[in-house]
Amino acid sequence: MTEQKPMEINPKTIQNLLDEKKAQIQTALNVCAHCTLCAESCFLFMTRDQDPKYMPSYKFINSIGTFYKKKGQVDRDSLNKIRDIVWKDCVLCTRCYCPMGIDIPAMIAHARNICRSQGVVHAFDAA
Amino acid sequence: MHQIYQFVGGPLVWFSLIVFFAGTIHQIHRFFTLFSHKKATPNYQPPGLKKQPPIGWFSRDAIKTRLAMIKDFLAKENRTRNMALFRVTNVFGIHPVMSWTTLIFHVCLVLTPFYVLAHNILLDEALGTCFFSWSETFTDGMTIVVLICGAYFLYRRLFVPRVRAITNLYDYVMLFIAIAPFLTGFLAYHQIYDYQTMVILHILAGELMLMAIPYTKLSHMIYFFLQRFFIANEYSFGKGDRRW
Repeated sequence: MTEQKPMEINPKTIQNLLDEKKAQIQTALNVCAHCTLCAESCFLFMTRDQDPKYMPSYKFINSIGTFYKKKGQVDRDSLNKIRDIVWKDCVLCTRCYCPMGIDIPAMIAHARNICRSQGVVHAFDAA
Repeated sequence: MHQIYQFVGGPLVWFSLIVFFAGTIHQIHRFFTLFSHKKATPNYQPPGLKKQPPIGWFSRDAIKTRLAMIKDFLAKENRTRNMALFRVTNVFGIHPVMSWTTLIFHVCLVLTPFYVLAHNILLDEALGTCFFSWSETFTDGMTIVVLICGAYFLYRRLFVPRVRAITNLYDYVMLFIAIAPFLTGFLAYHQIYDYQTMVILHILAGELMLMAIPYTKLSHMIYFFLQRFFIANEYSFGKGDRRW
């Protein structure tokens, strides 16, 4: 497979995609009390030595939360980090639950959408 | 000093109450506009499995189903299985200390202000009616409970790795806003430091907390109740648990 040249990051597209679900994202980030009670509902968290980076709240705060806080102005590095969070650390099994009722899978799924719009996807055949 | 007290205890109280109620209504309205009306029960029912009853608090058989679940949970022959399940699936089983602390903290936090004698006297002077009061020793004890639980949350934020991973300055500020009215109230009641200053700080802290509720992280106070009643999942009233 030939290496493709990475697409240019387009903050405008990211902003438009964020605006589509602006109220949901805003409310989710606002309501999350950082209580970490969602941790045990993630099987990756439980099977990987309870590493905090597999907590559902950590994953959505550091993916869609980063996009939202930076208003789409993200660089290649953070985009790659977000890609790893939303594809490698989360399998979207939708079994996580939040005591405050935040739809965490929807947030992660939207972060995946945004990554796809920038041509950043998980290469399932690599490594 | 007296003028500051007059202002803080008069117009500012009304202002903060208006912000609190208007904000709460705004947030509730927002919740329902964001609500997606998905079908609660799946179309496909696996053969051999009895039909799943409807879920959600307001559906017809919800209370009946919930009672049946409680009966099933308490039945003697299921006890061993249920206790094992409770320990791994219920938040009170997984995190007993955190769950009980947070429950006691929130109950004391919400109830204490209504039953403090001094609050009721002020209310009586202003409106001519008031709630009944609990003894001052008891409300003082509740205040201490709130402060101890707050200290536990601060400890978690500082020293538990998983909580530290997602903690930022905003969390500490929110914790401080929630605790401040109780701390200043405690100091004022025991007349530690200057009483006048403490009371003014206490009123200001209370007003700040009221105004903060709808528009900051403290809005989980509103969303907690909405979520319990309107989103069907493990934590909601009515039939809640998901099946795969």
